[in-house]
Amino acid sequence: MALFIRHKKPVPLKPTANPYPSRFQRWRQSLSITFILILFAGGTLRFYRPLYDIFQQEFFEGVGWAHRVFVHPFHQTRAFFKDTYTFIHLKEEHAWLKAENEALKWKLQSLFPLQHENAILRQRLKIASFEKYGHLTARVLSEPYDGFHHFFLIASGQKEGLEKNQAVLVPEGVVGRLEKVGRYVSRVLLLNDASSRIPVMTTISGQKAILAGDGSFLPTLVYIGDIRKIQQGEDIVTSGLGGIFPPGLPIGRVDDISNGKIKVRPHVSFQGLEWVHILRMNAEGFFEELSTALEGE
Amino acid sequence: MNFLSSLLKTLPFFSVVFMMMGGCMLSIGGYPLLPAFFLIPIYYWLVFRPDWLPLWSLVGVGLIYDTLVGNEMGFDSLLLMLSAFLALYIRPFLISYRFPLIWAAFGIYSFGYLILYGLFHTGISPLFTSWVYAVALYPLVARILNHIHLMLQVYV
Repeated sequence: MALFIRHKKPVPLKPTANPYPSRFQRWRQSLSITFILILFAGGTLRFYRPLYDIFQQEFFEGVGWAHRVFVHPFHQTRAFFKDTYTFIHLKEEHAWLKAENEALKWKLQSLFPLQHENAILRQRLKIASFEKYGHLTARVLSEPYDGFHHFFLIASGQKEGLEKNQAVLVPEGVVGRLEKVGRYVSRVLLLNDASSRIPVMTTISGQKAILAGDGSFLPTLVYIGDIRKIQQGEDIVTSGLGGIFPPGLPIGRVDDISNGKIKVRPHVSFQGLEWVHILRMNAEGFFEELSTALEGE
Repeated sequence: MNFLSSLLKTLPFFSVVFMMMGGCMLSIGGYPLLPAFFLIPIYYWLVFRPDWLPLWSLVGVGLIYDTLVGNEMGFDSLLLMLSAFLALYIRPFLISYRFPLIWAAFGIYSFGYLILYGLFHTGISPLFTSWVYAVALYPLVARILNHIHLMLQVYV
C-alpha cells in the first residue's frame, strides 16, 4: 500500500512567504505602500496652495463644529454646577452686589466731571473715539495649549459676522486677534504666541514699539524708538498702527528691563477665561479714524 | 452584522479623537496635557490591535490635531505615521504582554514623539536634518572605515 501512497520523494522545505499571514503581518505589509501613497498625496496637496487653502478651511469648519458639539455637554454641566452654587449663595451674593453697586455709584459721581472734561478735550484735539464701534461677546470653547502655541477657540464665527484679524479683548485688556474664522468656530491668536506682533506704545515715555510674543507668558518689546527712555512699571497700550487694534487699548506693564530686553506682563492672565469680546471694526473705518486722529496731532 | 462590526472597528479612531478633544480642555497646574495625552489610545491600539488603527486613520487624527492646535496641516500626521513604524519595531518586544513592560515602552515611545515634536517646533530642524544625514550616510562611511581597518590589520 505504501508503494501507491508515497510515490514522490519528499522535497526539502524552501523558505517561502507565509501563505496565511496574520492580521498584524498583513498590516505590516501594507504599511510601507500606504505610507508612500499618503506622503505623495499629502505632498501634492501641501504644495498646491489654492487646493490646500480650501482643504484647510473646510477641515477647520468640520473639526470646529465637531469640537463645539463635543464641548457642549461639559459646558452645560459646568454651567449647572455654577448656577447651583450661585443659588445656594444667593443671599451673600446679593449683599455683596448691593455693596458694590453703592460703591460704583459713588465712583461714577466723581467720574462725571472727568468724563465731561475728556469729551471737551477730545473734541478740541480731534481725537478719535471708538465708542461707536460695537463688540460681540463670544464664549471660549477651549484652550488647546500644546506647550508651543497659544490659542483659544471661541464659539462664534462668520455666522455672527466675525472677520479675520479683528481684535479680541476682555475688560482687563487685549487678549489677541482672530487668526482663523470659520462659520461657527474661530481661533484667537493670543498676544504671547510666538507668531504674534502688536504695534504698541508706552504711556509715560511715549515710545512706539512692537510687542512680540515668544511663547512664554511675558512677551518682549522689540523695535523700540529709544530704549533708554522706557521705565519699569510703565503701562503699555496699543499704538493703533497696523490697522488691527485701535489706539489706547491697555495691554500690560513693563515688568523687567535687563540686557536690553524689555519684558511686558499682560493685564490678562489668559487662564480661566470664559467670555471674550470681539471688537467689530473694519479696516476702512479704522484708517478713517486714524487719519482724523493724526490730523488732530 | 458585518456593518455593525465594521462600525465598531472605528471605535479606536474615535477614542483617540475624543481623548484629544478632552485634552484641549484640561491642564494640571497650568501645564498642558495635550501633546502626549492622546498618544495613550494610539499606543494602546498600535500595540494590541494595529489593524484597527490603520495608517489613514492616523493621518486623520494628525490633521484634526493640527487643526485644533494651529500647526501646519499634515505636520502631526507625519509624526504619527513615523510613530506607527516605531511601534512596529517595539511590538515584538511586548509579546509577553506584561503591563510594566508595556507601560515603560509607552514612556519611551511618547518621549521620542515629544522630542521630535519639540525639535520641529523650536527651530532645531537643521540639527534634526543633520542627524538624518548622519544616519543615512553611516553605511557608506562605515564601509570605507572597515576597508581601512582590514588593511591596517594586515600591516600592523
